[in-house]
Amino acid sequence: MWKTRKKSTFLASAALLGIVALSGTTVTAGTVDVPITATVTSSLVEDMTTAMNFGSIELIPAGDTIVINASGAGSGAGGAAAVPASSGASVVTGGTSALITISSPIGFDVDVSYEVSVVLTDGTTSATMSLIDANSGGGTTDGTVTHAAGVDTLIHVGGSLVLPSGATTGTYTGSTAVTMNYT
Amino acid sequence: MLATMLPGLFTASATLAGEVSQVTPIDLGIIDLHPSGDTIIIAAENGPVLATCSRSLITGSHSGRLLLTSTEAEHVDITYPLSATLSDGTRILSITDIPSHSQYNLTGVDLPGGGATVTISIGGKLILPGNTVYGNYSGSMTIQLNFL
Repeated sequence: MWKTRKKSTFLASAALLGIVALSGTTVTAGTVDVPITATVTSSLVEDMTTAMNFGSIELIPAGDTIVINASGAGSGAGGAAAVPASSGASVVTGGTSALITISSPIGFDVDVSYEVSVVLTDGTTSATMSLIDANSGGGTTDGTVTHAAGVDTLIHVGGSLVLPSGATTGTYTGSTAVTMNYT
Repeated sequence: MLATMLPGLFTASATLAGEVSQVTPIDLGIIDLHPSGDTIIIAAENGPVLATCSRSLITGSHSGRLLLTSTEAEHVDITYPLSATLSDGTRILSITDIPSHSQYNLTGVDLPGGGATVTISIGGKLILPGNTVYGNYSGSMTIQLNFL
């Protein structure tokens, strides 16, 4: 433990008939170190809960556009169930919108941005998925979703996949980036 | 205070002036940081407090504290640093505004003496941007005390 002392000095002089003069106190200074700690953490969780899947598409010969329209599936707290893929005339089974789940005990807004388009490929042939923002949660354009403290926020993601006539059969894969900016 | 006063002699005696009897660290707590960042403040200029912020969650925080005692009544001037740094070993954070958020900054404090204790609370401000790297940060500040 830090301590300090100060000295008081007394002068006595026989020449002054024994009268004592106090010279004054000496100022004493010292320093003390105070520790400081902080733990910075985050309980924010972004979970890619469900991947987007256009399902198994039995394409009509003329080609078709397969759409997962999740724009109405809601976002923010709760939200609706995943949206299946639909098409004009082809038969689609097993398709589903993607789902991103955001969890945090803190409330904030999330600005969601989508890519304009992405390419799916089977390794040889490609197909383009577009209109992602129009078919995803957050509105018909990039939008803001309000996350309520302690309540999961669900962001459904969809898109539109154009398959031309004569599209090569196969399994097409790819990915799209969804950017979330917290404010 | 005891002094021996004899004609023709030069004498002196020493007396205990003051003592820091306890140091309590400043703990900004566990900060569940808002994704876009936040400012954490321990406003201890009027006494002991918890840390506050605008949008993050903080648990386990408290202001720092010095306990001063003295045998004699005296005045203590306190000089706080303007800032101090915290580190997780790699990255640096700065705690600022220490004087304005700490007690008896401009006035100093009077110790009544007789072994009575005076508490001095210490705080500051920590700005955490949204890209702050999570971790355990630690550091210290040096406070100067002048016993008058």
